[in-house]
Amino acid sequence: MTSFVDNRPMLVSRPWFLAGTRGTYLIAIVIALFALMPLGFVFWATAVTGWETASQLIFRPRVGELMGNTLLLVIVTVPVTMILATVLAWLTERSDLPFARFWSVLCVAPLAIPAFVHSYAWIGLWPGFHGLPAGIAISVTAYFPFLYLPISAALRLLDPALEDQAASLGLSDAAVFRRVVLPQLRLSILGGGLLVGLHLLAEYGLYAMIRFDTFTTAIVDQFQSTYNGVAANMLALVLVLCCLVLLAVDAGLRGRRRYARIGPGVARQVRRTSLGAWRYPCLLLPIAAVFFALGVPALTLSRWLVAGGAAIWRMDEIGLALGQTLVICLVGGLATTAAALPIAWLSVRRPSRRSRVIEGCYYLASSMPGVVVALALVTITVRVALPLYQTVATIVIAYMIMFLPRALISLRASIAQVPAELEQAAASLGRSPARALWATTVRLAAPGAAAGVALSSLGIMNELTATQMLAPNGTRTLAMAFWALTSEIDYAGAAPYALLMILFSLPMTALLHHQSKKIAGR
Amino acid sequence: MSFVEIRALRKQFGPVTALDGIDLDIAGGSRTVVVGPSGCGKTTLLRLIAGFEAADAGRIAIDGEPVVDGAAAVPAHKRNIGIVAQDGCLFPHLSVAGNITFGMTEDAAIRQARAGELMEMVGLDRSMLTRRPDELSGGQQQRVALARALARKPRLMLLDEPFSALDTGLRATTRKAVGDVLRAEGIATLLVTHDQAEALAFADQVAVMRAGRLMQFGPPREVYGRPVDPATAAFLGEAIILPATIGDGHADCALGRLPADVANGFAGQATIMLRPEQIGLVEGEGGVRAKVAEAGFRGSASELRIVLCDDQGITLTIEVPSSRDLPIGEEIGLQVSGKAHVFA
Repeated sequence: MTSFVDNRPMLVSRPWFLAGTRGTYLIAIVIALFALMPLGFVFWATAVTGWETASQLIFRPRVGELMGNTLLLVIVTVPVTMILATVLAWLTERSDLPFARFWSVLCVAPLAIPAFVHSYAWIGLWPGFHGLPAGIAISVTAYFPFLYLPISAALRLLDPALEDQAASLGLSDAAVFRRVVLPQLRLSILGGGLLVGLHLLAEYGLYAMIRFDTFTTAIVDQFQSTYNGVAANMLALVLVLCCLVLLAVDAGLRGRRRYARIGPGVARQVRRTSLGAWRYPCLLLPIAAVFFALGVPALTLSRWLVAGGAAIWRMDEIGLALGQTLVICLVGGLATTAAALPIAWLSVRRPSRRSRVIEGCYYLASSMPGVVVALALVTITVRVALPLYQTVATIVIAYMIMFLPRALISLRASIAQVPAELEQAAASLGRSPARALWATTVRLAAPGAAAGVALSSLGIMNELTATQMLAPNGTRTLAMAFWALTSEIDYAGAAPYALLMILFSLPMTALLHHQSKKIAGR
Repeated sequence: MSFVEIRALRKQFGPVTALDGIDLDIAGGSRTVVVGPSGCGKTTLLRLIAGFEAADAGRIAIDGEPVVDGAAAVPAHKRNIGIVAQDGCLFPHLSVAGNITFGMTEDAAIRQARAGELMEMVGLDRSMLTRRPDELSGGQQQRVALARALARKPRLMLLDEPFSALDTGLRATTRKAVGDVLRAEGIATLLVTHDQAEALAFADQVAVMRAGRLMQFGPPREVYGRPVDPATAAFLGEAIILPATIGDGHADCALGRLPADVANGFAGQATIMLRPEQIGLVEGEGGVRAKVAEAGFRGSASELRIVLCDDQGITLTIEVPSSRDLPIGEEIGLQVSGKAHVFA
């Protein structure tokens, strides 16, 4: 017998729009705990080692030397990169520099070149170039696009009415730039600077190739040669502390204030400053930057490709590496984007203190160097989950930890563009919350998800450190093959791999460039 | 000689002529309003005076000193002209105090003291100095923008539709407050707006622009009562436009024989204008007979569309006190007061 009560809508004690939120939170928190594993591991390893052994391993001349190298690298490279990127962005976005659009594309293009290919290119041209000067010079050329991209986007977003207003208050052009433009670029400059700083701390291949020792290269050496777990773990602790200091400095400089744009006024088209007699001399800067960032790799690569001829195109090996790389990139990219989905949805649709804390965990976790993530996952799988040691699952988790924010940013932006009212409209037409979400937001946010997959795949393709330490036996990605060949000084044989990595990165770099334009509303 | 002198000012944006030879004189300490539909070039005129755009041709002189002469121009930051923009345009990275003292060159202590005085001058509390622009309401933002522009004691103040983003009640009070401050300081003011009511309420002199040209310039009453052409008449308010025969200082039209402001003994066919408030109702059987075709209740007044009994082709829209309840089809008598305006 069925009573008529069954035909009435079921009363739910919580409002319908909260249904499903709790489950989503749960998933997001579990992923956050996974992401924080490497950080937890470093502190756990220190605790297990004990203070006496730890201090012996930390306070020794070798660590002091590494600290000096790393500090000098960061302290010189980050400000130089900031200034270079800001000047380039201003020249290409706000001055009448000839062919500004063309230069702006060329300033982003170096993103397609993995950092270790830059040093490969430099020592191909200047074999004697080593140590700190080489480290700084190559880092600046490899990483300035990381800052150029956000700064030029921010410049496009600035309301030119503010600059007019400042001029009417008696400020010269230079003073307007210093007191109105620069303060509004501050967040982009700091954000990009932090990103560059974290890359400097985490990069292995770039510095190993020019024989410049940083914490990361020392940890990898330690791991590969002696497998001396404790010594590597203690170096990792210092490296993690360096990252945390960098994050704290950034947070301190950034302050809590965000600059909301006030007023509904439609931004007027920006006016470009006339460089006058400096118009052509100013071309020297983008020419020099593009020469080192694109010309040098192009020169070296074409030289080796010509010298190597057909012999270096061992298609069986290259084909195998390419296939493995594409599979790993796709699986890693999909997994990373899927892992980012719960928090992306929560942070847009249910923004709260809790969702911000979880999001912060992901950012913190991803700022850990790949070498630390790999070290943690190796130790943990060996100790507690041996069947997972050197499996695809482990390496995918490593990628997830390292690249989740890339997917998150794309996802969040596209979810935010879908009005929540659409979900509500679908619900009012009789869809359950989950099906309403699927029919509206998920469908409409699909391009953002695709961009998230692409961006995290780009990171995975050019990742070397963690991949080397975690990849299953017999795996040889393009980056690994390139690295193995350069280690054997077979520079010609490595050239096809570098070329392939660049070619596959180009579309995704174009996507990044396009996204930054779209954000700026053009 | 007038304080601001604009002569034959021209500006093109590609194929679009934004300003097509503007001549305008602004007296010292006066309030001038440039009014016109959007796209008529009024904002371009303001931006040329401020120095944000370069003119193609023409001359602007302030206090006898040329600031624009053809292609040559004094840069914006050396003109000492204050401007309050539509959305206030406060610097989002600075506090209210930082915004107000932004253009001041005095010592910090003097700047802070002056910021407090300026806040009081524009009717805001000093305690707001530490706030951020996004913590202020729209009206408060506009007052801070005014204080910021006043801080440099500008010789001319430009207001670029600064009240249009505010809601109706706030718009009138903010406008009055801003106008009072500027009058007390004796600063010549140029307001740009598309709102004719605002223009008539604020101005000593109204300049009506259309399609890059200055159509008419004069005191509000003059411009409202004696517009140069029917389009200007309609832009400034409801207008009743009728064909008429002019002769002997009078106009013969569908509403009878009316006194007209005809000049030089002109006689012949012409177009005349009446404002709705010139038309009243008469009791009884007198006046021009008409029938109510539509009636719209507006609270204190009713808007009537009426058809003349003698000439069914002519319909007028008039306003009557709503205390008179006039159903549709009712016959009424009309009476015209004042003079009809004859378009030359």
